[in-house]
Amino acid sequence: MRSNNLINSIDWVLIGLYVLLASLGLAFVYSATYIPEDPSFFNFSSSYGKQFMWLFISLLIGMFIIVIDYTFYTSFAYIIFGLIMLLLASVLVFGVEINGSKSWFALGSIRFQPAELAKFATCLALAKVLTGVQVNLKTWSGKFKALAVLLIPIGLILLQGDVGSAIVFAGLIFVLHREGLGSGYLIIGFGSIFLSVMALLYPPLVLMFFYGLIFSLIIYYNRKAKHPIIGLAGITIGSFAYAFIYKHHLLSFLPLEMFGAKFSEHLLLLIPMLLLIIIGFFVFFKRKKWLPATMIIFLFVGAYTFSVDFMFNNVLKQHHRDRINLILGKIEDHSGAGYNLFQSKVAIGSGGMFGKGYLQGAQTLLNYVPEQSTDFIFTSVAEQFGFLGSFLIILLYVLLLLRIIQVAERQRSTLARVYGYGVASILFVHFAVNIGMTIGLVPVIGIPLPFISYGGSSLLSFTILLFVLIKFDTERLSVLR
Amino acid sequence: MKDRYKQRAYVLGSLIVILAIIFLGKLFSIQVLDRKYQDIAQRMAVKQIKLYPNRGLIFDRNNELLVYNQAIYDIMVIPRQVENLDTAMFCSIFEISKEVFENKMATVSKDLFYYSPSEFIKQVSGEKYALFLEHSHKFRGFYGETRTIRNYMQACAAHILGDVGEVDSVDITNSDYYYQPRDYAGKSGLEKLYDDDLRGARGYKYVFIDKYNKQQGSFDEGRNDSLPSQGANLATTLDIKLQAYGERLLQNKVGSIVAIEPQTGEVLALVSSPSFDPNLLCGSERGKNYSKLVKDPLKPLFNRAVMAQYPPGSTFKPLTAAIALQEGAISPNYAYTCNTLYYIPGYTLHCSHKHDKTTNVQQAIQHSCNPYFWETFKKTLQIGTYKNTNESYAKWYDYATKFGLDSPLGIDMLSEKAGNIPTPEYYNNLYGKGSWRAVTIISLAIGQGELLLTPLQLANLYATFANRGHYITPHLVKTINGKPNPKPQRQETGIDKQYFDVIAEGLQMVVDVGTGRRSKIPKLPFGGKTGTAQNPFGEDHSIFAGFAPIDNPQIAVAVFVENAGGGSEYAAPIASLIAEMYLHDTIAASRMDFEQVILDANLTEILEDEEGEEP
Repeated sequence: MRSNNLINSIDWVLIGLYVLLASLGLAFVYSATYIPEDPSFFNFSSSYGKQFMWLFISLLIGMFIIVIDYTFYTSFAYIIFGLIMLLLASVLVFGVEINGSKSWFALGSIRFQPAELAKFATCLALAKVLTGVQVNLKTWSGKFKALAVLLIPIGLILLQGDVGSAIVFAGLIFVLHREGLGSGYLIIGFGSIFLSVMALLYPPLVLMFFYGLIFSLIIYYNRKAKHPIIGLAGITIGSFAYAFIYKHHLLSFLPLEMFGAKFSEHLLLLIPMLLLIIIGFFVFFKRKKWLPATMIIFLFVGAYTFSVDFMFNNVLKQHHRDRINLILGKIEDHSGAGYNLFQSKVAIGSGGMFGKGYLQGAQTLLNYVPEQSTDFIFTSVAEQFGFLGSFLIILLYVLLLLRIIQVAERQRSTLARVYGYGVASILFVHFAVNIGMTIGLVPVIGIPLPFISYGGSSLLSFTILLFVLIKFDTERLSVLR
Repeated sequence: MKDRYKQRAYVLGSLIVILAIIFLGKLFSIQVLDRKYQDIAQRMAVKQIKLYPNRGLIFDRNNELLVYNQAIYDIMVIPRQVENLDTAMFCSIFEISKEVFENKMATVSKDLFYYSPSEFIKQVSGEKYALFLEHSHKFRGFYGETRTIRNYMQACAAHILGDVGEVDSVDITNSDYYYQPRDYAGKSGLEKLYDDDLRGARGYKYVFIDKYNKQQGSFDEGRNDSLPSQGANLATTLDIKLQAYGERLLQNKVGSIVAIEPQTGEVLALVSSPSFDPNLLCGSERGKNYSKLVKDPLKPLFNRAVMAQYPPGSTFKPLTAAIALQEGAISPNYAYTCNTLYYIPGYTLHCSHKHDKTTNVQQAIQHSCNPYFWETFKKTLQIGTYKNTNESYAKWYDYATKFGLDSPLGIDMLSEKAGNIPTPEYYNNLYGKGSWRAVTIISLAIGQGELLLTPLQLANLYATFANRGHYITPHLVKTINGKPNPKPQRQETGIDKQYFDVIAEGLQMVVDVGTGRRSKIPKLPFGGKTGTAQNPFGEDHSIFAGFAPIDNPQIAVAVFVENAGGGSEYAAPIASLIAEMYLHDTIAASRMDFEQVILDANLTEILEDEEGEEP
């Protein structure tokens, strides 16, 4: 009776999406490591064979997770978290260094990355922390507790030199937001990303004149501008507009060439500056009340913009600068730092509408794309199955993510909901960064595509992450503590 | 507890959907809208491989192989792929020092070269390459590319055959961009002149290559591939045995031998001494050897046979006679008493030696009597047919040009030089129109003054005598891939055969009883004329030109030996040995000692000493 209940309460949609993605992943790994001269189909020493074995182990562990009692995870959440943090710390001592980051344990030919498991442990610990009766994210103590759970793994992983994995944890801000963290934080987060991109794309002085103009306009026209957020939104929209105008030379209809090329550049700066002075004049006399607050925000924005510029030029290393400049389209490089991205785009682009067919992707077969079975596996999918294949994969991820949110939202217990949200956030960051980097929308950050990329520890960890949620979901009617 | 933040679920939800839409938009743009990536992918993954044809072989007139191809290997490197290199072993295989290795590595690793194949060591022999292959796993990133270079069966005929080397930018432009950097092309001699025939046609193969530049099967099932077609073989007119013999005879001497088959104009031998082993200009040592040859004071690269201009001296006298006879200035039986003195206004000239009375042209040739030819020349320019000296000399000049003496003959050799016969205009400019007479230019009669001929022209002059009045443009290539090389035209001189019979008789007397009698060949009617070119810088040049057999000539030969004295001393003996060797295939036992003296003679020692003494 009980097992019957269990089967009925399992969310088969999630299971189905998982099985579909994981088996597609197996097929893609096979094609990405396929050698036409040696098409041995089943061989445990091949990447495909290993991945098959890992999938088998993952399914066994998934079944085990569902079968054992959920209280194991809720009661031992902190212990699990503590143990895995210990693993993260010990990898700094006992781990081996691969591609510049010391984040792997090696046991013979089997390698394991504890940072993958840390994602599960952190979600669990965060859920447990936020379930506490007196924990409220509106209060400083609540914020600190949540932040502590996030900062321990992030710090340890950064020490390993694995920036990519650390970024994934930043995605858990969505969980905190959902649980009551002020929207301002989210907006400041995104706002700073926008400001950074703008600061990297345009000279800071141009931006400062422009931001000043936007601020003044907002204050002047929006009498209800009580909240700095509206100002920030204004900056964002306005800066995009001016950036667009500046970048695409939309002001070129003005006969500026007659003043010389250098001067016309300055004139483009002059226009917003003049407007700034004029509008600033009106603001000063008519809207004095809003001036101090706005000036403070403006100063922050300015300091931020200049510090991004400074950091970029003085703190970042050349290879970081190269990666960022590549994404921003400021430099073009097909062989050095841009080799991966260029090869990736060529492979994806050459897939066309319908793709070249399974095992027919020349770029994949000829091994042009580095890491094509792991971080860049999406390129071989897009090459072999074209835009339709890309569409299908993205659709599957969107369905999976939305379903996870839906499942999280239907939980009665805070713990299960927070945990579910954590799963969604982590998978979302992986999806966004991994696919984004293959098509050049995000700098190249080596993190796997969940369930599809080759790699045992990532497949196993994502399986645990998802199946614990499925287990919680089977108990959704009870209140978990 | 009411969940106050329930609608915040839409924040992440809508972000997911928005991001998916952005991704799909970008993917649609690069996969469907932008066709650029398809092209790039094709260009990147498909490589055109040039299939080099075998260069045509070169044979001598008796089908003996002269030039063939040999496989060598260029060691290439893609620096990006170099890993775990056993530098010490690499250096020991190719016999280079560690510094050289590191310098080269630094050069080929610059900028984008780091990712592309570069030449690392040129032209490695098969043995070294085999050693390299055996240990290739220790040299990841390095690989070999097969090339072919030329090899020469015999260490002779270097000037004629020429050489093959890596193209430079000029070669590439001149070939209409058929050649590409690193290709090999003919650089001199026949290799250059007949390059279009010898090189054949390249084939192409299109293959997939992976990022390691490794081939991975053929593109489009090989539908676009083409096979190379082999270069055409050249059959030359050279008799390589004769050529080699000629080079031996001129060893340690500076000079030239040209032998022509008169009926056909085929060049049998074209020797320029000093020469060099053509194999020096093959392979990896080419550059080094080339600069060594350039610096040699005896100028071995200078092809004296077609480029050196010498005053022909007495060898020119028969032509003076032939023109006079044709013009009717003298008859074959014209007699002139030489008392060793010849008076012209203001000067007294001398005959070179005392000799018997000359009662006809034949005897004049036999004795090489200067006054006889001065007088003959004067008569030719003073006969009443023409208004003045200018006009009669113009006619004389016209005859000379018909023998091809004032322009290159058009042999299939690059850099052939013309001789020099002064034009009437030249004298008009020099002396003023109407103020020069026959006596002014009298030294032309005996092959001196402004007269200059190349050894090839002199040989051709005697081939014309042998043919009794015509010549076939001398040439070096008989057939190209079995098809006759377009035959050069027969050139007429406008002088009657009967006069050449007279001259032939005189030439035979020179060898039988005259100045060249030391060079008489047993059982072979051989005729020719000695000559001496005065050399203001030292010992006279020894000259001889002749042909054999007299009545059915098979070979005409001209010999110049620099700083060797009179024509009878070296040039005539060498010419006789050449003719004997060609026609009898051996040297008569009675002449062996004579041959040995010539072979042993070393005239360059003195020359080098002299040059050494000069400030």
